[in-house]
Amino acid sequence: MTELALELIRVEYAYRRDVALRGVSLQVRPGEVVAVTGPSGCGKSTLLHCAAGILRAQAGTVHLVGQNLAELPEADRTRLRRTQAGVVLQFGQLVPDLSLTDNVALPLLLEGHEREAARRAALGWLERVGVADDAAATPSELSGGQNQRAAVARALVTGPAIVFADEPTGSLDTHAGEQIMELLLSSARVGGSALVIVTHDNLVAAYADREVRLRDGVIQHEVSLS
Amino acid sequence: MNLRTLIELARPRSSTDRRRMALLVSAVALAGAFLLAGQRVARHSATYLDGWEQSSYLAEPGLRQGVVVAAVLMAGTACALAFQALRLGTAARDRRLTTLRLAGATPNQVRLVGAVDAGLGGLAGGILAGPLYFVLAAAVQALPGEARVLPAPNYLDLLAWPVAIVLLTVLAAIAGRSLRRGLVTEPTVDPAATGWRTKYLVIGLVGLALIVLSSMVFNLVTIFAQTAGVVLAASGFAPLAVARHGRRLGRSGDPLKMLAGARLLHTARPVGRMLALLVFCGGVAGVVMAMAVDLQATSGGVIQDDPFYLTGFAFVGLLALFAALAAGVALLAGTADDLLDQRRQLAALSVFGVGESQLLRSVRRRLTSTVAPAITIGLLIGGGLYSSILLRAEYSSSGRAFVVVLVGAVTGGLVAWLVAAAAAFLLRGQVREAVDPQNLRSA
Repeated sequence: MTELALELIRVEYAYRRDVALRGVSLQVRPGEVVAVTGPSGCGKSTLLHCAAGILRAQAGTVHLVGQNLAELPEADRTRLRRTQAGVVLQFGQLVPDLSLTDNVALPLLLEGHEREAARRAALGWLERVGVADDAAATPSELSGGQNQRAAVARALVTGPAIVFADEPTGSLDTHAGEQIMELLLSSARVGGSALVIVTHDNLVAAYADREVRLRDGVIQHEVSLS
Repeated sequence: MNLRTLIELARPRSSTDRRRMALLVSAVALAGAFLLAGQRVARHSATYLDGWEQSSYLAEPGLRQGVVVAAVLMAGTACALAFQALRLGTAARDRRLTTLRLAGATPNQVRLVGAVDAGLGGLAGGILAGPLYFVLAAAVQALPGEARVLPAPNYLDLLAWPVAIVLLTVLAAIAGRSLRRGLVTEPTVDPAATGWRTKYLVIGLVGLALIVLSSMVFNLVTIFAQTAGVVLAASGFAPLAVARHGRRLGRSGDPLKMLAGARLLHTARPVGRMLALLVFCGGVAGVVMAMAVDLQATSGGVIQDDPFYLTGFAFVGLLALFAALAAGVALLAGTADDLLDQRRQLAALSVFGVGESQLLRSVRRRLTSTVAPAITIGLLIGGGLYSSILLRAEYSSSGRAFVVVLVGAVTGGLVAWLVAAAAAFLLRGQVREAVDPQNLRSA
């Protein structure tokens, strides 16, 4: 049996009294593209953060590429996330002081790669996502779309098994959003990465193989789109 | 817009804003207390002949003027700290004021909000300055006679206090109104994003030339010229050195050094200004150190009139320490503001494993790798310049002064490193907040 890229079993999470997830279970196969949709405040981002191990699930189990996150100490959890998962956020969230190259090279440097090798890999990814000409520029010198391309490169530079994207087109216009989605999908497919996209945009969800709709912290329904 | 609306809009809302206001009020209160002390000394007229037991610094009219100047310098330093406090928290304030513009406020109304914000801080600080001055004066009265450099307060101080309140309020309001950054009224490009290095290089070179030229002749005027040279050289070269250090760290393969370096490179000018002040403080301390060595040598191991000289050295040392603390606090506050401003990006970094401890290490590196060299260089410059004067005057103590200056500079640098490391530890709360995954939800 093929190992799942991600498995959530009855995951719960609450912000003090505000319950965000109520026993959510979800499976993502390698290479699969899953869109998590739903209205604002339904728990989409919390689900993604729990799945990526950014937040620790308060109940239930999260298996990321076969590893039970609850059983891993913080350092190992971070290392697993750094090597096996990529994360793209709504505004890119690149470090403003660093060049695009250094931003993309950062996960590799944190992993202990040599600077030159990390920069070469970063430049390769910037080339692939179409912003190699701006490799020396800082995020503030570029458009939101260009930053988001670099954020995609940063998420994929480690060759992750799964990529988590939280509203990756939320800050972009329709055209730039389509470009980012196509880039994200094609780049993920090249490396065989699974993709979990949190979005409230039906156009973005249409790119997925499967749509999981959340409401009030529970999965309302799942639809296969492929 | 009436005053009530202005006050309502200017009122600090976030915890950062409140911290900024607390720093502003404290700095203004200190400035006010020193100003009140200065006016009290200036009004003092008693001499030795009046039979009081008082410090020679008050009894001799010539020295008394020096005490007034020192009090004004202390007030000036506190004002500089207040100005730094006004510049803090600008990211949050920028957003608030930009929202005001969007809501229809004119540029002048936005500037007025800035003036009222600062003016309120000035007013509160001015009110606190009175009690602070009276406490300071009472504390000084408890010291031994020679160290009593501040006369006992009298009823005229109660009249000077309201004047100080008005003065400080007006000054703060003017500063708040004139601060372009933090009062975004028109979209502007950072005017000095390019070409600033040449300007600072010229300033530094002018300072260096002044030091070299004034070293050729020794008299009272050239001492002032040398001091001015040190100030100019430090002001010009410090930002350039910070930028260079930032670039060097940025090229490192260590991601934490890279992050520290990139931030230094982008804040080279404000950080450089504070480091220039630290260099100057170190310079003053270096001079005092060399003077003390010289004095001990020339008096055969026993400093004649030691309470007099010790008071003088302590006075100058305190002034330098106070200014250095002001610069240190400004650096620390600027770092805290950076953390707040970049919290989303830093929280995103936590996804890749740059957690609280790593970020704290990066912040510590930023502070220690700049503050410690600044103090060491300052001590070497100050002590070195004074020792070279001794050498040229063929004083036998010059050799010993050089050794003491060298040991003092290394020790001072180590102490500064420890203080900066401890100060970075104080920022752990801000660091924890910055990497909190909750910041990722703000989208």
